[in-house]
Amino acid sequence: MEIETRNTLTLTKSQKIEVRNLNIWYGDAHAIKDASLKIRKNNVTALIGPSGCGKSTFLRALNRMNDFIDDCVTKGSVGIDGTDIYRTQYTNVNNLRKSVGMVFQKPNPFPKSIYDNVAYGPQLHRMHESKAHLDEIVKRSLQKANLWDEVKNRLTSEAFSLSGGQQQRLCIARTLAVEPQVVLLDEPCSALDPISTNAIEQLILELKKSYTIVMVTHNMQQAKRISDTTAYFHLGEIVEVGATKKIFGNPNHRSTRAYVSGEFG
Amino acid sequence: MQSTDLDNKITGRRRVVQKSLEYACYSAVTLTAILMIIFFATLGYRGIGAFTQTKIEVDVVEVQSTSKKSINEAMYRLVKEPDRSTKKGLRQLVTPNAYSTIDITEAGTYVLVAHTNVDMYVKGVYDKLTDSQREVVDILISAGKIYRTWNWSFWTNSDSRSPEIAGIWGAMVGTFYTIGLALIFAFPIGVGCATYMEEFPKKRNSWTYDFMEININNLAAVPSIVYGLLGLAVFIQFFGMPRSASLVGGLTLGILTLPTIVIACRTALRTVPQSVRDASNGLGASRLQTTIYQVLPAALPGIITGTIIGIARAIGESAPLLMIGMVAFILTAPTGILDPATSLPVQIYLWADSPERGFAEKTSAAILILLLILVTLNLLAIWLRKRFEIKWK
Repeated sequence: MEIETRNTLTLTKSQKIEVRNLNIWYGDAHAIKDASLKIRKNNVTALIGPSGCGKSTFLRALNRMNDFIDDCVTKGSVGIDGTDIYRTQYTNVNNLRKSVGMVFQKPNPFPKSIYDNVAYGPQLHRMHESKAHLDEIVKRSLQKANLWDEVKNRLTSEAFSLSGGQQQRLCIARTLAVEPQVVLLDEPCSALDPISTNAIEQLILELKKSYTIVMVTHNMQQAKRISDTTAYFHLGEIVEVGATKKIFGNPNHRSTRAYVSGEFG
Repeated sequence: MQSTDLDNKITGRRRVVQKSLEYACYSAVTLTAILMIIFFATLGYRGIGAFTQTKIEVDVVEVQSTSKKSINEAMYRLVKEPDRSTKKGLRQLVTPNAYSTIDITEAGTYVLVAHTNVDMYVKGVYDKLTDSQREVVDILISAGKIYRTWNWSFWTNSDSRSPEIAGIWGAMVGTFYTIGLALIFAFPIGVGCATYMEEFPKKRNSWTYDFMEININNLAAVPSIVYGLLGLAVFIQFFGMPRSASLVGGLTLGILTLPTIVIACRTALRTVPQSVRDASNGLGASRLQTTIYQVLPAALPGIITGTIIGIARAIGESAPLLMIGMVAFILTAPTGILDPATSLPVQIYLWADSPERGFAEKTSAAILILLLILVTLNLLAIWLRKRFEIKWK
């Protein structure tokens, strides 16, 4: 029975991603140990845990960004809408990364204009029919990222001229421009001040209406504020998964309780 | 409460060490500057004469059958009843090339280039004139018939046996062709090689990667004459390309520049932060798209700066060109890449080797021009780097 379901990952309607028995090694280091997780559609799933517990590695496995790390070996299955992205060798990884977008820890805009930053993705995938259409995509993406009003008069200025928080929202707009279904956020607020962090958090709450969001965060208050489901990682294992209220209110595990209460971290 | 004394100077041994290091650095810089100034001053002092030329005005009264005879007759008139040896001396006040360059069809005053001995005498470098010649020259100088002018022919002429009319144009054109070809050849290959090594390291510890790494680093240290031998053996012997041609010179200098470009390009690619690659890959760009659209444009200022410095090295290179026959005596500027050509450093080598004293100032002047080109290129490289360098945040 188990073997049959491995090949055709069946998901219930509300599920978007199913990770099953995921194991990741960096050389000899076993970074993720037999992790299984179901991620619901239009939900914010927060991955929390102490440093070096494998949250980021797990997140990067969801759109195969680990492929770029030379000695990284991945075993197990990650199903997105029922398709195992690791099982078939014919998976178009570029299309996968288009539909599972990623925002990184440090704002990393391209050294180009604000407009070019957002237009780059649609241009890569030839998603626009005309210049006017591309303008429209850029405008819509910036609006979704709550950045349009701040930059509409200076689309041609350098992306580096924006503040850190604006740069991070620009990176989110850039990701949204290629119309992903899932947005992965790797500690998106760790380099930002409280006001910018608040802006990004509000944005994430808006985005969850149309996207499935998975975020790694070091900030437990943040996970508590905006996530629906929380997964607690410890030493490469998923110790506990559950509704955020449950994890922060009454966790089953002693280790989880210790972490969320701030005993270590 | 104890207060920190910020005004307290550093004293004792620490101060001695710090100060002596400081002075050592200052004196090294000063010494370099002084040596450079002496170098340029010497070159300038010796070479300045090449930028002026001595002209002689000849009054032709009757036109003879040839220009040569007309000029000679006009010269004989300067002295009353000259004997044979005086006549010979008078003939030799004018450059021997004047006869073929000017066509005398009617009487009048013609301005000709003076002989190198007259030129040197007027410039006060040395005096090899005979007594009768000197007498005539002195009279002509006081009459304003012999004078110095700006030497255009130094810029527009090619090499010559006569120092008074030799110029650098042919060598400049040869350098231009050679360096242009070297650039066309080495830039794409160098950038491609560096990009492959930096951006597509599929298996970093495979033997091909190590082999390339060792090769590139060793090629940069190979003496340039060896590249000349390679050009001779491969391009001329094996592929049968013409000797002395700028095509062969360009390919040889291209191979010589290749390691410099590869190393500079790899350094430039390494300065592009990984986050840019992550961002592009995360949007669904393939490795190639990321490289072409993001990494290479971001690295371009560094790549171009490195290339200019590599090319500047190739411009000053003469040893490999000697091996492939570009040391030829070329009277006219090459019109194509297959024509026999020479280049500026080789021209300097040729002139420095010539017995005529008149070539000494030409040599210094040509060195000045070559150095000027190199300084300009290096300044351009610095400017480009300052202007287009990306400040990563």
